[in-house]
Amino acid sequence: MTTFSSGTTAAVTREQISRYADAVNDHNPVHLDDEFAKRAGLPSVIAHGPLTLALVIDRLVAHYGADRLRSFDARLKAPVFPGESLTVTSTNDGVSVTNATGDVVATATLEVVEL
Amino acid sequence: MPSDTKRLDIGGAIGFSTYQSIERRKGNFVRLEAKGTRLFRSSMEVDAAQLEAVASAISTDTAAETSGLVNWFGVSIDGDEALVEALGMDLSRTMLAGQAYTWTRPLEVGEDVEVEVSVEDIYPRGKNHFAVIRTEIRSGDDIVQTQRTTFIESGNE
Repeated sequence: MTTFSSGTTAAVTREQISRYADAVNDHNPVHLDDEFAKRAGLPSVIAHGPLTLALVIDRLVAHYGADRLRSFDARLKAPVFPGESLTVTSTNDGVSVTNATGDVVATATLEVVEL
Repeated sequence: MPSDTKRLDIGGAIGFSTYQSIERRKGNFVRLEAKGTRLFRSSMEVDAAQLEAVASAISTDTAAETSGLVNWFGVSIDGDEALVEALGMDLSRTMLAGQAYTWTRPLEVGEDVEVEVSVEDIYPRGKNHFAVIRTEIRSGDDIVQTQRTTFIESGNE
């Protein structure tokens, strides 16, 4: 199997954020209520950080399979908004995640094993 | 903390009113003495419906496979009252700064696991405070997965 080089997620949707909120019981209004998010200085609601990372990990699973992943250590750099798709690109020690305008929203180190 | 629950009740036992909680904690600062606190320990069955809910949110062809890696055990910023109460954080100033996973394998539907959530570290850096929450998932004597979640609470009110 080749090393992961890059992959892109579908655009994050509000429905997806809502489903994730229900799935993990995280109903912080910054993810669900635009007015609340605007009062917090954001243009709109934002995706949960773990949802963003789950979408990134899912791209790695699509390439390697879940059984081969051993560690993933991520730093979140910027919020992800509905409508944004994410591009996951390999780096020397893991991956970098950028939005459509090229801003880095997360970086992560990654460990994968051969089976 | 519950210690013998058979299945995590994410819908009720640890849920709370987000808006009220945010308002109530405004102006709070994370409690440094919470370091070392065990927030949750429970035996539970990996529930198909729970994995399906996470997979539904990911919503890809590989989502079901991925759902066995990205656990949901009480470490989301607003998912566990015990977490927020123990840390005493002001949610209006708190963000997720990082998340790290280690895996020996994906979780499997129907397996029995022991889940423990604890406050691994709390430390100041400049005006801000960082809190690191560790979630450990065991099957028998073996650690199957760990998750370290780092929150940052801004020092600016």
